Amino acid sequence: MIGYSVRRIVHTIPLFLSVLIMMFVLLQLTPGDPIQDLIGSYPVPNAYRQTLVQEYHLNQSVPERFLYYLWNMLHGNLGYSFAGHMSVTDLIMGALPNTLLLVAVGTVLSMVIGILLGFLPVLLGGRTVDGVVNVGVVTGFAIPTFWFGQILIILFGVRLGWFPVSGMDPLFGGDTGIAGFFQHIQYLVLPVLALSVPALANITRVQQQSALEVLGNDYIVTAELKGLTASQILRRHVLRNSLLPVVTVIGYGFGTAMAGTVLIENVFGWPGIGNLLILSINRRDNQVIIGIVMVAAAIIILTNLVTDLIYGALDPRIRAQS
Amino acid sequence: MTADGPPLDEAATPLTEHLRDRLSGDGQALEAIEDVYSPPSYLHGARAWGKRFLRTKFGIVSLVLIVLLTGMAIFASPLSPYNPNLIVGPPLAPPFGHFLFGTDSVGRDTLSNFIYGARVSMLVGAASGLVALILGCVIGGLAGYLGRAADVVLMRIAELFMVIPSLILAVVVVALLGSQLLYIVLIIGFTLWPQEARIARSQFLTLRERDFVQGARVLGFKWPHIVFKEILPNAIAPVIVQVTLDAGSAILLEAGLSFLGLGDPSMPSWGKMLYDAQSYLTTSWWLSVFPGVGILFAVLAFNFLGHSLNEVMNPRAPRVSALSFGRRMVARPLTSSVRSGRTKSLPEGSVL
Repeated sequence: MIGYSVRRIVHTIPLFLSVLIMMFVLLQLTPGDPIQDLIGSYPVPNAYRQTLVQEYHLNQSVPERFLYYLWNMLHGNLGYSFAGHMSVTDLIMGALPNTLLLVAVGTVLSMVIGILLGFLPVLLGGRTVDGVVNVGVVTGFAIPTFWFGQILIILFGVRLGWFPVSGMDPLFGGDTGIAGFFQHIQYLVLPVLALSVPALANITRVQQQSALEVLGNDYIVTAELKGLTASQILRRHVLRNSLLPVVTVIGYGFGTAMAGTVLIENVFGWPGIGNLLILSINRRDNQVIIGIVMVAAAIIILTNLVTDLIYGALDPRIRAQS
Repeated sequence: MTADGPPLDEAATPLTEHLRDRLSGDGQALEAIEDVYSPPSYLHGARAWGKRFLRTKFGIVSLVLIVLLTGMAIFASPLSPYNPNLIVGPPLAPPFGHFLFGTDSVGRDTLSNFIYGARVSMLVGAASGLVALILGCVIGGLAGYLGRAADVVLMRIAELFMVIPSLILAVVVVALLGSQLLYIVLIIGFTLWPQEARIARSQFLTLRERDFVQGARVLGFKWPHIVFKEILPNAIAPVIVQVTLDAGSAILLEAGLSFLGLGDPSMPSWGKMLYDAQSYLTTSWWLSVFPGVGILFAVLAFNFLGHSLNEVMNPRAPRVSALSFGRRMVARPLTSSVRSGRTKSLPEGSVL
């Protein structure tokens, strides 16, 4: 188990470095002159331009600049946002908790509901349940989340007026304490619903397939012959063993949710890194764009690592394989 | 000899010539060689293939949807009642009146924009799918055929592309490099290829060791023949299924990009319509509902097509049979018979 864990952890380092290299190459391909962007159209003396070039190490070679960036990043410094007038790290750290709240609640919700929905056809049997769940899964994969969010706003926000449609706090006079907590949840409901649709569809499908696969095993027959009741078999043997593959897609679901949050945050005006990303794109704030991609990639790589470790801990066969 | 069998005649290499000389007169041995040699093609008999496709659950539905949407894209200008870029009525006119889908915030016809919007979606779906198909086959094929170091390196690159979510990568690249339609198509294809590559790799890995490929190698064929004539035709079916499913993802990605204001500004698209609708959600629901339904059906069309193709090309895939098996196990034998104590008289087809 320790060897497996170490291998998995070491494996993530080149992965993270390659993401960084890719972003760096991308920045080199970007048209335009960063110094000119910084100065704007106002004429400046050449000496000032030279100072700026020196200050941002733009006179050095690309590999040198890469190492410089890497060094800074290891110290938690992702650069300076000229449009936001603050350090990129502070800017991202201000928005990240809001995004993580959305993604985490969405992932947990889609996990619980997905497992239940995927187990439903096995539990109830019958063509109708199976058909309904399958249609739901197919639609869940095909529906654009941001459009679903808009429809939720139109239905539950505008028509019925049950939930607020934008932001994560009231602009004025927010409640505190318990009332404030419930107020927060009200703001959370619609974005979480819209965000978790693809992950929900995926988990439902995987759970359904895995439960059916487990049903075909010999030990189910053995359990049946031992005289266990159907509910005992379903609970102890089928459900427990069928949960295993679901663990692997949770990491994937987290990744999809991190991407989906870019769209959802812009539909619901949620002040997270997805909103910040689009804001930075509109302001041509490249440092922030790269910083957000790196933070998102780090989170996703970390989640994948944790999922792999959990999976390895749960299933000895995986450890032996890799 | 089958129709798409190996060219044992005029294009023969010295080795085959030699073999044929030795085998002539001995029909049995020749047949035995051909048995080993003729690849188990998925694609023989186009008519039977078409029949099986139409018999699948979603075959006809997907075909009808794709024909409708493609027709809408191609014949957008005669179908549209107005020019999608011109102001033709009052702003925010509700639907089902003079304007069937209403008008947008400046008074352009939503129906015309909707019809023209099919163009970008269908084009991106098909073109990005093609990019992913080519990239995936080349990279995955190389990895599977060469094995060893090439395999490790290429699959690591694929893993890298799978770590960064497609949408974030596409958003950043388009934001930094520009948002022409060509860029969007290429970028989306670039974010989708690892799935295809993984499938192509595993196909090449197993097919490389199969008897008919080994046979071709023994007969002295060079690698272009082995790769393109022997392995590729047999490896391609599951890759095409994945490409069809990914065409749906490509449509979703393009719509997402346009929704974030990063689509090609020169063409009407469903994602851009949703971007415009965002500011008018409280008053004008029709601006959001119609383009979203368009995206949903375009993606569904490709997903249905993918599932049907999978059923036809890959008849041994477990999906449907596993479902009916599970139903058998659970709905009748397990729950009913165990509960009522009739374990001995299980219906036919049960594992017991």
